[in-house]
Amino acid sequence: MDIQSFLQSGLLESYVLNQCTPEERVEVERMAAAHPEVRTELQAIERTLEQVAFANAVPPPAGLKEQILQRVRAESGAPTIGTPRSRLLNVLPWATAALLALTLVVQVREKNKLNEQVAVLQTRLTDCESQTQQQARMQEIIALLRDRDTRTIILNDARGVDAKVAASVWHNPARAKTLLDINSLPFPPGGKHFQVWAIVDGKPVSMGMVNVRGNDGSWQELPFIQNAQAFAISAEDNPNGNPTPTVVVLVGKV
Amino acid sequence: MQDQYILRLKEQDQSVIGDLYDAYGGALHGVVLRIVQSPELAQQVLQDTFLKVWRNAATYDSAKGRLFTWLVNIARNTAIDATRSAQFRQQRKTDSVDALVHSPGGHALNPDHIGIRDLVGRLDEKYRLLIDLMYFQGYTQEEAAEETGIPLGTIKTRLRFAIGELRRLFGEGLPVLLAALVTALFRLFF
Repeated sequence: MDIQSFLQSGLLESYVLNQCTPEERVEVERMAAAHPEVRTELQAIERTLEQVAFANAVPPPAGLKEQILQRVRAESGAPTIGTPRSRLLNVLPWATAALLALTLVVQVREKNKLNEQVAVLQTRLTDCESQTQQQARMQEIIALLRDRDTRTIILNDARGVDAKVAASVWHNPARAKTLLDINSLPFPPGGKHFQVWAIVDGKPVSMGMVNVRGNDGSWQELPFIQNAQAFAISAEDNPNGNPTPTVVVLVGKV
Repeated sequence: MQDQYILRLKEQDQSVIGDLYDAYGGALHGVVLRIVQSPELAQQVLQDTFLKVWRNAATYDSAKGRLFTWLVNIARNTAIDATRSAQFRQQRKTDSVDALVHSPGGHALNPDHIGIRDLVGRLDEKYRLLIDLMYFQGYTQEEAAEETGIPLGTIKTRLRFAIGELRRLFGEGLPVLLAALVTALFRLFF
């Protein structure tokens, strides 16, 4: 069949109308691929029928487009990307990290608070311990004062002038204890320091310096000296004391 | 434009469906309505048509025809399937040969297209019927031969003649429209 009779056979029109047998279809497509005139003729037929269709177009009702688009969207599965489950999965690692960070911050703050409380409690414990020690010491002193073997020695003004200037020493040879009552002691004269002495066989033996502001504030334990016949307090320029008393201020016999 | 649509269809770009609908929806709707004769069913068919277009985008081969030809074939087949399942075809008479051109109260003709009525109207009655049956209603050659009384062996050549006439008429369509416009303007001012 020559090209002209092929073009005029009506086969191309049937092809465009989708009204030909599979064999005819193959034939038309083979001819179209081989001959540009066939392609041009096919295009012309298609355009003509297209014009007829457009001439008879009827606008579809409003809303139909949106329905179609929704169905296409549903079909392509695009919305599944944004489903709550996958969104949750996306957020989960961040949420976990945020939670861990928050927990860490809270933990550190809690730890700091606890550390502060521990410090406070430690201070209180130390106070309690020192109070307990002090109390034990007081008990000891009270026990000593209650002891019948304890003697109270009043040290008076060595010059015998001022009766109000006095100090007390508690002396217990059985327990080998000697205490000085600091509360009863006047302040040393300016720039002077008190030194305590025991008189043994008429000779002064140093018992150390008076700690005016001592630990317990009330009593000072003195070294026990056997056979002390008297106690004396002297005023010294040297804060560490002297081998022999310079000026004896107070004295009292055992 | 057609090439752009094809490219986007092949890339499965969802937005192309909206654009195809805007460009071809009315023309496809006209064909579908002519077959199913029911606005409700036509909507359903048009939806299914675009869904098929979306699903079968990969099967379209631009070497075998224009995009609209492919679209209208899908629409026509979908519409015919719908009428078959609804036992439509038995009930429906070939209601009016004139429906394509004269459209007495029907929806097949878009009256906004001035001149088309005249152009197609000038086509010989039996050729109009042939176009209507085979293009707008999807009749097979055998069905069309039976309906029109044209011998089956000459259906193809009659079809060619009908489309050839339409081509000729469309070819002179623009001058006719211009003449109509000039006449209308003349009447308006004088």
